[in-house]
Amino acid sequence: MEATFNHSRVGFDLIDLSVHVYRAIDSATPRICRFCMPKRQRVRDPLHDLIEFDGSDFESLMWEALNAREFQRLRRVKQLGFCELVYPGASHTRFAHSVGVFHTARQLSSVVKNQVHKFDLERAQVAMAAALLHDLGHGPFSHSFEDALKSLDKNKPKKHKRHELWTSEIVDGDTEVGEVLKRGGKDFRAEVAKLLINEVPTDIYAAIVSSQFDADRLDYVRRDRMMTGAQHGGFDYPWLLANLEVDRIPFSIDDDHIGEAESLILGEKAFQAAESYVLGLFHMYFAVYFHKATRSAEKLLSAIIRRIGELCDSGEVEKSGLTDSHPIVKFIRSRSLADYLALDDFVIWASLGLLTVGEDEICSELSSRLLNRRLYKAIDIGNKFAGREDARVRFKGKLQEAMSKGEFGPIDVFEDQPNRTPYKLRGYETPEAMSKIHIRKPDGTYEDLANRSDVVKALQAKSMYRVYVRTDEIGEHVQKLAEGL
Amino acid sequence: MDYPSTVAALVSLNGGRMVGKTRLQKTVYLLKECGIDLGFDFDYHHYGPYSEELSIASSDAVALGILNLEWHNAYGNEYAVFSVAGAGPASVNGLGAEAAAMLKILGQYDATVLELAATADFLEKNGYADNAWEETERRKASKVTPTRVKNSKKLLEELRSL
Repeated sequence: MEATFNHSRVGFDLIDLSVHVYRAIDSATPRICRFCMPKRQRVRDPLHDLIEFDGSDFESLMWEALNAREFQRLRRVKQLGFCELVYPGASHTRFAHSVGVFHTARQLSSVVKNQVHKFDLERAQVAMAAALLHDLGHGPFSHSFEDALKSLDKNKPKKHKRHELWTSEIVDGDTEVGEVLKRGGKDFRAEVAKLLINEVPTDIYAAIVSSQFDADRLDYVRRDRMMTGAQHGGFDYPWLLANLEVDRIPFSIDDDHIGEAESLILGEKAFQAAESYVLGLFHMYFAVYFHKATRSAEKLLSAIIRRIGELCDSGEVEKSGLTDSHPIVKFIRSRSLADYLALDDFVIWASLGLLTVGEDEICSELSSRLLNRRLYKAIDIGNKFAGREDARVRFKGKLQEAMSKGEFGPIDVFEDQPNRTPYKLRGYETPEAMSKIHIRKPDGTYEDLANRSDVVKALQAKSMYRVYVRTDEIGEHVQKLAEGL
Repeated sequence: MDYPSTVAALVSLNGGRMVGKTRLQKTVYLLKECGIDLGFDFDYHHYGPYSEELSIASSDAVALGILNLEWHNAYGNEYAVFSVAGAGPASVNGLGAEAAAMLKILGQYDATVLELAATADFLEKNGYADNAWEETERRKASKVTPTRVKNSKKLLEELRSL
């Protein structure tokens, strides 16, 4: 990559880039460049306390990226969406989280620097930039919004994009943040975009952005715990960080071996800390991320967006209460980057008032419920049939049959079967080898934490399946379907 | 649509066994894009086109006892092996001779080739009509080799010519 800071054009010769000392061309006296005076920027963060951008070229560039409009939009996207309906303190934004991820990525970069023979500063800076920008593509109420679009696009040739793809498009596109990154060097922007979209880390610097100990996860688990006020989910972060090591781990697709990738693993002294980390994440999933009220609100929003989309398709969007120029309507129709970036949590909340007075009964009822927190009640079918997976599946079949017979209206019941798992022993959704925590053994090799820890091994047992019901009567009907299975 | 039975019927048509969740996903995707639609919807996930419905249906088929699931280990990583339980399920609409011919072709390629082919096909239809392979290589740098790309293109040609 080329340095892009051209001091000669303002009459200075560069003497020492690292401390920004320059000498005027007609003078022998070194002095600080008044054009590039290092300016330290500071952010006070509830989790990390003081986060500093040190005024170096790279961190000044990151500060500029932070001030780009696409990054500022993250101030209007909550990290946990509807979670604040359950935990009122959980109103933190993706902006705060992203700054925290950058800070954590710097810490991980230091870990890598101490572990490898030859530290590649440029690759580390690409990883730190990717860490800062990793959430740019999140839409409002991320998962429920994505679910609605996925449902709308079912059986259509063009499919909605997940937030990771939007992020890469924002970084690589005609955007303010893209313009800032161009100044990082010839390939800097392209390398950041590539790292954000790459599915398997290609080197240890990529593991800072994507691994079991990536900067994202190490920030959000702790931040979400702090902001929700949940007292479970704690783990020994400094000890975990102090015991991170670099090693190569094999990865494969099914029975096809692909190769090895560098990743972060844990030293053997961090065994208990690793257990706490996995257990903490597990507790956070069930107490916070999969909370029944949060998920119920997400189901309502998904149904609203889906309904608006249906009205768009049938040319009756005005019945929803929204006009053609409303940002939600514009995006559903265009799917363009510019219209996507016009969406945030505030747009969604503000639309609910309009939707409640619209002509369409579905939009009106669901919006009113969401606005006033009149959520659907959850029936925990998975819990009811715990240990009897076959009965749970037979129930699903009965429910589908009842729905196809018209026993339920279009918004009477919503099924919920979250497929995210806190620790994946095996699976498809995340790269196999990267989804494990590897821990060093006394003989110097390593193994999957689940092979050493009975606690972690046992975490796979719990699966979730809930049905959300519109009224108590509908709930009774659903309960009857579950009888005798 | 009885999705679990459909998955079991597919595995049955594949000789009663299918190795790997990636192979299952990409097989159903490629069948769909070649005209044999088993009802599963796909969008782009970490590994390329992915159907959550299919993932749930295969778990449900195992829970119902119509599909067996064993875990094998290779190179330190575990992978799934599905097999039909008992006599196998009744036939399912759409899973006939044409599907069997496609499964035979798919069975000649490894899971990575299936993944690359499915990904390029999806990208071609979703905004990368002119540079689907270039984008596939960008996203899957660690998996792409000239041989795998060549085989993936050959696989798509064979499937599309049926």
